[in-house]
Amino acid sequence: MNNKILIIFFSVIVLLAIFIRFFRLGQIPVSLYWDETAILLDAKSIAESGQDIHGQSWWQSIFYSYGDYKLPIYIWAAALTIKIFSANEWSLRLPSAIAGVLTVLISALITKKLFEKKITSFQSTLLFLSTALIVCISPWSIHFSRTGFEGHLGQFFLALAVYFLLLSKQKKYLILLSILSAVLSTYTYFSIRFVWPILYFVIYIYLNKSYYIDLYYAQKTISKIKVILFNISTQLIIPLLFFLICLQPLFKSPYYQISNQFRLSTQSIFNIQDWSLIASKYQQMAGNTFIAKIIYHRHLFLFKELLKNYSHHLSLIFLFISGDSNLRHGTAEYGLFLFPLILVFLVGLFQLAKHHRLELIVLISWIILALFPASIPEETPHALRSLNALVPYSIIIGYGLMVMIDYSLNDLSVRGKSPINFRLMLMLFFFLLMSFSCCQFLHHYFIHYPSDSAAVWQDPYKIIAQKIYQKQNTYNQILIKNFDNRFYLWLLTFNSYTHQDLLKYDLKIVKKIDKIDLDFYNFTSLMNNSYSFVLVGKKDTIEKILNDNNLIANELEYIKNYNFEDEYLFAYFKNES
Amino acid sequence: MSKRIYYSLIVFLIFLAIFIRFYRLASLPPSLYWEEVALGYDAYSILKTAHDHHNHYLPLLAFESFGDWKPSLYFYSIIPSIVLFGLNEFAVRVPAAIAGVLIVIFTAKIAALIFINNSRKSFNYQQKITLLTLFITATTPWAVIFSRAAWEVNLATALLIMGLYFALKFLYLNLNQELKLFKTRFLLIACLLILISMYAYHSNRLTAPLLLVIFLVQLFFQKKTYSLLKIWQLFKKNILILVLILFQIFLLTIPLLINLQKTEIKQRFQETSIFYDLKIIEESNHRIAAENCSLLAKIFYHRYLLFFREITTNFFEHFSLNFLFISGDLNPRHSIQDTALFYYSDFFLLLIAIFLLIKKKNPFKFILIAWLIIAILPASISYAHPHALRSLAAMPVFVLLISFALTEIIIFFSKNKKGSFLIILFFFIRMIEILLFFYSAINIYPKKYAQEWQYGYQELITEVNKLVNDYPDNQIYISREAGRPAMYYWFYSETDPRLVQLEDKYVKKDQGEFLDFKNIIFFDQLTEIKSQSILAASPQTIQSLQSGLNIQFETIKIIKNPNQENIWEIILIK
Repeated sequence: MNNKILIIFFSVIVLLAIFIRFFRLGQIPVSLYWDETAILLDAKSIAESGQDIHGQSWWQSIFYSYGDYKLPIYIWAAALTIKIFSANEWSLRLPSAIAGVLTVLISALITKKLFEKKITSFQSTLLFLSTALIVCISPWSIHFSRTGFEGHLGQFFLALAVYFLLLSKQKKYLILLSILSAVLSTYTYFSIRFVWPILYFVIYIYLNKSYYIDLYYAQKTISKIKVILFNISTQLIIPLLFFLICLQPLFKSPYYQISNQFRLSTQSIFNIQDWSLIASKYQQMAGNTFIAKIIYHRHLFLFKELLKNYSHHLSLIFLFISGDSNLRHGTAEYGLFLFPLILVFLVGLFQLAKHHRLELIVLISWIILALFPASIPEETPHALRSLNALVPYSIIIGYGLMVMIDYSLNDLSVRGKSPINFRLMLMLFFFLLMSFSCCQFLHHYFIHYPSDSAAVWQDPYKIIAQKIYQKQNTYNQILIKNFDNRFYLWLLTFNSYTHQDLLKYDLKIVKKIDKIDLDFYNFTSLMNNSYSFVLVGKKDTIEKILNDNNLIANELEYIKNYNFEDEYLFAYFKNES
Repeated sequence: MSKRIYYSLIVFLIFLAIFIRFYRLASLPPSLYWEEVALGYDAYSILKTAHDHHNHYLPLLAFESFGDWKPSLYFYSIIPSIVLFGLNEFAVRVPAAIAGVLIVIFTAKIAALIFINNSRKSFNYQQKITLLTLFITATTPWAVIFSRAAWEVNLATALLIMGLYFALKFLYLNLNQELKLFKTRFLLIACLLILISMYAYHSNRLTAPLLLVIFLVQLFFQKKTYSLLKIWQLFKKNILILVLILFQIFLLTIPLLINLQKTEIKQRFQETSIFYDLKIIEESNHRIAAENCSLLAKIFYHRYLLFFREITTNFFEHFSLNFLFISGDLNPRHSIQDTALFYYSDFFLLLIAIFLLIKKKNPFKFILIAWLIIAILPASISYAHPHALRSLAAMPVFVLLISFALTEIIIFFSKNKKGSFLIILFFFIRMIEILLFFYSAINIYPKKYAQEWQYGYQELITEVNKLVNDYPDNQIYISREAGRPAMYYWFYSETDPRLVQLEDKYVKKDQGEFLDFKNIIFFDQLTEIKSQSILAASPQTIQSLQSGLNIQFETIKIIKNPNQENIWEIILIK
């Protein structure tokens, strides 16, 4: 295949990737989730003044945010896009969308490098294109490119680090770049600090395998130990030490300890069940013998639970049929990759096992390592936490697709008689199937998914927040019956509060913002109120409050959600005094 | 390996399989589940009166039982063992255990048949794979569990495997151009066994005909075989065999086909199939309506596409690592929970097997894959998935692959000393895994899951019968909370089936289950209790009855489960 065709195909894929990722970006998914809103608020504040919402300098390794301790890179990136464009959903999600398009490129580059000189140049070009295509149309990549989750930017930097590391075989100084982007990745998403060192070690072994083999057979005149020590220290120990040094600001941050505790407090295999209790029950049933104490040890139960969580992530149903059931992490009706690719995946897996075992080991270790942080918490399978496995999976599938296309074209060149033959027809049919599946997914994603998922994206919050802000001018008080502890984020984000305003409020426990009472409960006192106020909350609760306290509002205004159902209620009380 | 060692090893492994399947068969699983009791009592009824307890004369297709129309073969297979051992737990479970042993033997025979590579047709290889398959099948949890209770599916699978063995033997001889006239009778036996399995279990009504079709497809498209013409010429010499084959196909399928629309067959399908599930159709309609019935929506959300999605999901659930290797079937009767359907080390063997199968030429690849898919199909179109019971016919395929991989590995590694060490290490790990499985199955399982097997009825019914003798005129109440007490009552008191048949027409029933019998009332809730009557229920129910009806009583007997918790209390109302 000559370069022109390659460039044409590749630009088509990239354009398609850009189109799918940027079409109505910021509008689908329908609105911002609270993590995204919190990032937007911090980024807005930084873009305006260089300080976060708590008045800290932007140059810090952990942001307090709303109390969940966020890492800085995504916030900085969002601050940059906000500075260039404006503070809205689109610019918040832009860094992720760009990372998505770049992931298409980087995964193609990684495959090209990984299989360089191991396959024919035609196959290599084909592999480059097929991997790019797989990432481009993967529902997994598409969805997370369109949302402002840090994990997606993190996986891009991780892939970039792997790419530089692979390149470093020829140009050693690229190890530095590799480490730097791994550091960027760690500052974007917490779990990478566990993934990277081991992944680095695996790839180091992979890259230096032939070096060690040569050394093994080399003459004994050179001092082998010295050479090995030199190699290990320059390429393994020093880079990893450098990685650790770069992470020092993170470890030294005042929030580091507490943020770790925060993360450990979520439901995980460690605390989901009382393993020692279960183990002792088993031991008792088996008669408390010595053997029973060994085989029903609590760590074994824990280990089994970990394996179970791993198996959830490796399930073909999760990968190709239904994906994550949480609507914020996907459509729940499509897998992480399109269904027809299940076949391609298996082909890729077995072809790699047949021809490129070492590469397969690298890819599988990458997947296994990436799934480890996702398998500790109890919410499995989890599409967001396992996002670091996107690139290796795509490479395996891309390889399978390359093999299939190559196989179907091979027949053509050998026989050379008629362009219509069985293999080619089969391949064309497969492509038709894939396009059908792709259209089906995009149709679902852009037409049905928004209304399916509006509720989990905290849909009418923005409208409510803006309406409340407007009403501040005409009413003495806005009383909110609490429906979400973090609603203040929307209130502050989508209205024209300046950074100076934010500093006035104590944003660690927000109860009141000027006239707005965020957690009002003393409804009986409203009976004899002499000033005008607005009561805001969920439709049912507000109606009940009005009924129970015999309050008669001057005006009721229902706020509709995305599916045109009345969900929230504003009750206006105009007392002239 | 000398022949003497080989045959003594085979005998040893078969005895191992028998031992694993028959050791404490009556009390492990701890007691009879209600389906087992129903099988046993109807068999007893047939033995004594030639009618089942609903007074149907020798049912051919299915027994009404609890209204779920159980296929008939297992009922008839229990009769000899009832004659020999009497009406008890052991007798009811014997056919499944024997079927389990047959599965072991015939899986090994199939392995020796299909994994013979033409280039390595040595006797040595055949010996190795036979021994290893015997060992693996004898100890695989999936095969063991379903051999140790009265599972109809085990009998059906044994028949299917035996039938497949003869069918494959026919193909094999055909492939090696050794097909002689008298070998055509293999086809006769194969058809007979495969078709009979349709009378043993629901799923087989789908899998058996499909497997026969697959067999024919393989016969037609197999390369390097006799042409069909030659096969025809073979049959021509002995037209009788062909006539017999066609005749038995006709004979065995006609009863099923005629009754296809009747409840005997339809009932079970309607209860379990996803095609009767309205949810999927509603989803399709909802999606299409949301787009004002646009053409695109009609295509993308067509109900067939959604059904396809559902079926593939169910299908792939059977390949989930969690199901196969980590926790097994969620139903504690289908898997002991601590060990899944296979051992952990089987995971690696399976991977190697698939890889080798793709790499190497094997004329039976197509049959193996088709067998696997067809065996999982019935479980994929029904609720409750993954389902180890309904997909049991797929178990031999997995076992064959595992044994194949193991044989290849052993041959690959046994060339040098380091390799032999690895093999010994593997067997060491495998022995530990097997011992862990049996340790859990013997020590934990009967205690933890006794209630899943309705433990306690035997003791209860013996006690109640004693009381009936002591107080012949008193009313007796037995709670239905543990499920189907009437059947247990007849089973353990060996009630004359004629008495049951007499009452069948008049008695009040719930899903085919009797609600009273003679002077016993089987109750869910009671509004009044006669004084001087005897009542059996769980301590909780008795407590609520005491507070609700304000009764005075004296406790006669308390029955405990293996975990030493009180499950039944028998009281005399004052």
